[in-house]
Amino acid sequence: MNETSRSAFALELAHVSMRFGSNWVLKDVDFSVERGMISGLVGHNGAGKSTLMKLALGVYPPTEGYVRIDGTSLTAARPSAARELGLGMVMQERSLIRTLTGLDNLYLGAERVSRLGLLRRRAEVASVHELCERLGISNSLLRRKVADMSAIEQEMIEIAKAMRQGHTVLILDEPTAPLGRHEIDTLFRMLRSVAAHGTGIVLITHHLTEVFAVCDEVSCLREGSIALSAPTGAVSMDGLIGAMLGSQSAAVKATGNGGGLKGDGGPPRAANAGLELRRICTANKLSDVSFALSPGEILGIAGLAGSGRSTLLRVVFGELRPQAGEMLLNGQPYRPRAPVTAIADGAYLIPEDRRRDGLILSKPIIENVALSILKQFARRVFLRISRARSLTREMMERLDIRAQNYAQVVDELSGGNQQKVVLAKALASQPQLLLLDEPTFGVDVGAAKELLRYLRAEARSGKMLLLVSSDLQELIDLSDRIIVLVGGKITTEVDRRSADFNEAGLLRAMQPKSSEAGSQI
Amino acid sequence: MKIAAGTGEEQADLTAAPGWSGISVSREHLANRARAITADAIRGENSGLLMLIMALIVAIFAIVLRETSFLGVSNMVSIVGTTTSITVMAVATVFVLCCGEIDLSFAAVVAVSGYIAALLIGHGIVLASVAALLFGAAVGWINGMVTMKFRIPSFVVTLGSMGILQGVAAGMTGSATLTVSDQTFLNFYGQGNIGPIPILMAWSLAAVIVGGVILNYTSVGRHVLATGANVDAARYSGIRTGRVKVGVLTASGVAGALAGLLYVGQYTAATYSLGSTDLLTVLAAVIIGGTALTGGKGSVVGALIGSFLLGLLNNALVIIGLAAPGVLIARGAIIVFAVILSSRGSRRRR
Repeated sequence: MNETSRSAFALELAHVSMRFGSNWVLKDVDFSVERGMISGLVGHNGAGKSTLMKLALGVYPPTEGYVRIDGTSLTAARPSAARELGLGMVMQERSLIRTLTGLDNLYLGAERVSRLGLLRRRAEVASVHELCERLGISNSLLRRKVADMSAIEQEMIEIAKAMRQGHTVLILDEPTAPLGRHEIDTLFRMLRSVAAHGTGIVLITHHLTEVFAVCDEVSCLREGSIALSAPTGAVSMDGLIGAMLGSQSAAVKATGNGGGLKGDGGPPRAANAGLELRRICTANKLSDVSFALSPGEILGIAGLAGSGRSTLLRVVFGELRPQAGEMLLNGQPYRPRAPVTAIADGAYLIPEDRRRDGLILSKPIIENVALSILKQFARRVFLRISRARSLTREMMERLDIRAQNYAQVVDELSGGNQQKVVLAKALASQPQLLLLDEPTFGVDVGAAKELLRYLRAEARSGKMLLLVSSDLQELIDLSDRIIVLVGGKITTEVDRRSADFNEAGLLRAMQPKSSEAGSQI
Repeated sequence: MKIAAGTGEEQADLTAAPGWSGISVSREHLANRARAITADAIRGENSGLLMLIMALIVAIFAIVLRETSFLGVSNMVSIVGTTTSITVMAVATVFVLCCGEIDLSFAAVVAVSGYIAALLIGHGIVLASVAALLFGAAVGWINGMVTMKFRIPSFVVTLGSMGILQGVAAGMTGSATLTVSDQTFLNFYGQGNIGPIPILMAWSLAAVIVGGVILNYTSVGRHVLATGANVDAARYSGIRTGRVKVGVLTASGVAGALAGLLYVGQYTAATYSLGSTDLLTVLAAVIIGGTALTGGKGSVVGALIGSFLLGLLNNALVIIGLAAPGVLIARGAIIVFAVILSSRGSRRRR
């Protein structure tokens, strides 16, 4: 990169290290963005991307090194200090108030008021006029309520809100997740024009094709260090994937861990047994999804966020009804109308957000485990608590749930033990089909390993497992076959014998076709 | 005068977004807004449809009762007068619902504050009024602080304080009626006129103008709506959401107290049953007026119209000869109907 002068940098993080307790999350990282440049930041979950951005935001000070915004050191670790120096951030989570207009959102918490306390909307409009013109936000859009805006219009307002306060640096965290292809196009054009006016932009993303479509340079974090930092013109897709995974892990891990545990090369397929999906479509996520799953088999589903992974599970669990296509379970038509009928037919979902959808946190273990099968314990009107008690004890032993006793409130348990309670609740209803959505998310490494062992045991005993996970290594370890969803379509199917049954292969398959994304800009 | 003109404009765009005084209104904009109002009415959003149905019912009554005094100017004026207390409380309730809370206790403040004023009227109208209003403020403030500090739903807190206040009202004077004969007090709160305008109508207008301006044209209004729509986003934008909620609940208590004063002014007496059925009426008026029970969206002018339509309905039912029980039943059914219609619109959005 051609360094002209120091102040040409919009954002500079120099030799920053960050330690939480004894754990070094970032080690001697150099990351800088010149004014007028768009810089991509990629890396796996947990590689340190969000910690790095929190240092730039001033959420906490770095253990070592310094942060400079527009050449000025960020001394106080306060988000407002970073904002005053001209740093704006668009979070992944939408921060807009849906019932207010665009303009009111731009000035929320910082309204211009007259001496009488009345809002001075005309003054507000005038002072954001130039910014809005640059972003292509019309006055009539400012006047509309956020609830009536499309995804890209909301994104534009988010960006304007971030930039109203500062326009030296703009950080965007996964901005394209809620957008359609055409809208991404618009967003990228807008980012280009923002950059052309001298703002330095950081784009955090999992979509590698986006990096090549819009970024001038790209940095890749791996395990807290910069693994790669170069102009995008000098990097290839494979080079970037290699940098994300690290050189040694890319090819080798394919056959190692899980294969031995499963043993025999693949379960025999009975003609009628199992789950079969035929050309399933939903309104806006899935199109033409077909696959078969036999008893004893674990089928992994890989895909980027928004590719339709969770939607697929929800369709099978009866929470969403497909618009077209059919499902068969053991040769019979399977049309769950709601989770309750899906459970009756032997399916059970372990949801992504266990604290919200999986557990009743304020209740003891026993009540959670027995929740789905209360009918079995009913004798006329009253519940036979003794049976529920023995079942819960048995489950706690089988899954090694560490708690004081079956009456302990679930909220007090660790993440790993909570997830085991969810699994116990699922197993209590004796399902033949387990649907798993990120089963080890937020679970510590030890407990995650145990959970995977139990899941394998369940498959060996003849259950069908449908597994969605963002952790590719986990998918590879556990699955017999993996299907890859891209934009709601199955594009690739690999099994343990395939050459692409490894992280690099999956990651490549998960990216939207580069010809489509490349032509956008 | 200037402010009054503002509400005229507001009445026109009743079911659409909060008014836009700051931006010049083009013809295209007006056309768009008209289209939006029609669309909302069809969707049931903002209860536009419900207001239409209510108006239709009233129109049918108007035809049925054309031989009576129902449609006379004097009857209309008297309806506005009798709904004044409801309107005042409805305006405050719009704010409470908008910020995502609910207050069940304001109607129970009515009787107690009426008693306080009646007991203290011997010391002058100012003292009596201030004491009653301060009492309402104190009840609302305590409701808010308990809700905030202990993180309990305001539904439960105000349900409790409603019970307490009903007990206090009944116990205060042993359920006796206290008559008030101070003519200044009666003129100010019920029977006087400002020029040709009855004082009660003036109170209604004042409440709606103050409430409407605050909700639509001040930062306080933005903060209330933001808090109710998405409390986390509001907090991250630098809004003190706790303070907003306490403030709104305090205002609701004050509105209940003012309603008590207005009732005493009209009836020249304080009784323990003042306001006892008003909770239902006020909530019905507010919901008909397009305020969302889920927070983040509300209309002060809508509440005024809701309150007036309910007053009309009430009056028509009485002229027809339906007794108080029938009126209560009709009102209860209307609330459920209103919520069904207003939730239909929002459900489809998701």
